[in-house]
Amino acid sequence: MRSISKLITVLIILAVLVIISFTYTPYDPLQSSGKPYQQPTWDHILGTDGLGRDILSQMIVGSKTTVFIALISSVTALSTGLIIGLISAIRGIISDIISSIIDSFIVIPPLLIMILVSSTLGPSIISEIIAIGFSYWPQVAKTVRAETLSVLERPYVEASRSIGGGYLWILKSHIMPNISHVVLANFSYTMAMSLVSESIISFLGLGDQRYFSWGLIFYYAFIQGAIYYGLWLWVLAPAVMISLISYMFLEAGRSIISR
Amino acid sequence: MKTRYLLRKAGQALLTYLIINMVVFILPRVMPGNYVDYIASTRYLPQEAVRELYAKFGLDEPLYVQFIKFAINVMITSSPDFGYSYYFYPLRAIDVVYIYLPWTLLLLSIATITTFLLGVFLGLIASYYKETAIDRIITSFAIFTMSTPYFVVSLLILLIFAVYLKILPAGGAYTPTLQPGSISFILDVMKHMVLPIIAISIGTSGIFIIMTREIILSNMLEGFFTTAYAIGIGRAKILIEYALKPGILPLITLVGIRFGTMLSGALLTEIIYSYPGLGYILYQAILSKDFPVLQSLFYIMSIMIIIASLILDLIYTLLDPRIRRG
Repeated sequence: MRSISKLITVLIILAVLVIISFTYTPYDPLQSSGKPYQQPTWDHILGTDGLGRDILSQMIVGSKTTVFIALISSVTALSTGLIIGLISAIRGIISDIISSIIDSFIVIPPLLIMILVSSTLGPSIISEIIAIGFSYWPQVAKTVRAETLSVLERPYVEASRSIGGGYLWILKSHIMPNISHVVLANFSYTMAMSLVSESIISFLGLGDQRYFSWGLIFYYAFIQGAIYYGLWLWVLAPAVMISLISYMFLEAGRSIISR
Repeated sequence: MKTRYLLRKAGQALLTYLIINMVVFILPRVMPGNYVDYIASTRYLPQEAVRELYAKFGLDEPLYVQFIKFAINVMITSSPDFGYSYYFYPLRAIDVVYIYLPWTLLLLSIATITTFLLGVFLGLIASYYKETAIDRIITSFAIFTMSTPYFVVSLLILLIFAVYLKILPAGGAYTPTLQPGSISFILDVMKHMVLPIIAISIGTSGIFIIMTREIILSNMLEGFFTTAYAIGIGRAKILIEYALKPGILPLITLVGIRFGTMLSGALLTEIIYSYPGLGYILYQAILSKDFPVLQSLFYIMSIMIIIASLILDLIYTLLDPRIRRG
């Protein structure tokens, strides 16, 4: 059980962030509450942006959007990959075709698919979710397929098949329990990658600009010249949050795999 | 076996090529609105003009006719017709990509090698100092580079080397005043390339560090290592000669798989360093909503990835004794 504890810890941290973002912000993130481009003070711990809006409040509100996008899109990628991976593990000509299709998709980098999809769909949270969800399923499908095939080779599965167990029965009683750690590790991986991808989409200006997310705050910091004003925390706060949370997810995934 | 292996890889590449063409064909057509609607919505056009534009681009025909024409066009010109760029207007979208392609190819080909070397080197050090503080620092660094967006890494390196230390140029690919072709120009180009290459190498080397370490450590579990120790061969020599060398092949395959990631890293790095490669036009195209250029970019970069992975498969075939002698 030690292996899942890291994943649960990260999820609890995210849940706390979301609860805080629903209940409390020091200032209204959309209203001016100080001088523009203000250096960090006790009133504004992370400083203010070009319109005098408090950046800490933006970060707190942004965690809600970021977690929402990351969670939904990684669940989308995970379930798509899981279903396709499981189908491709059934022996036969169709599974060979599907596995070649997975191999084809896996070489196309997620960034390209994300740019193509989110630029065609236009900037909105839905299009971000579709773009990210559509980018990461091949990795999931590939690992699920490999693990399922190795489970299907095991003697007790063969025994189960010999006494007349159908594919669905084997799926329910043998495959699912045995690949659950792969699914959880993939969930950690896709969560980490979704967080990073969300920031990349926002950084390129393809994100939803109506709702603050960590990526969008970094984007604003970059285009409003935070570096030239010496507002370090404005740039670093979203970057550190994104890499810290996704670092924790990647570590959680590693500890699940190497149990 | 050699030809069979290569044929299978070529078939896989062909399938990828077909899928990319399908995506490029289908995606703009399932979306509400097409480029004629986009043009018509940005300025006042009479109904006849819109209908004429529809006929000109062949959008009034049924979908299967469009697909046949698309496929024939791809076979003749080896690329689909993406139309004209909105931003660089008199140019065709695909030509815009070709103009900026050489810079990215230059940057990426060097960065691929440096990323590979950096990853293998750090992985080797981590496995040499297995389960010590050094190992833990390198492994954490590797995971940290995977979890940090590339542009953050690029920005930090830019700030350290170009803004604070002021030892290397902050952006661009060359100084415009220099004469192209001269020695000083070439040196200038190389100087401008250093920071982007460092950024790409650090940003994408994470998976190579992890994989090198895992491969070496799993090879070291084999029995012949105990024998090698017992004979008295040095630890560094054992690691390089007996653990890393057999592991080089899977690492080369990994370059093929991760080439796309390195390309993505290169694109975002180019944006930060305003390097005149594909990243630059990607950013321009996004800012000006230049869909033909975006689609051409997707197309050309996917083709680049297919070619790169084919080349790596070829290298793999030449190196792997099991396939070479088979």
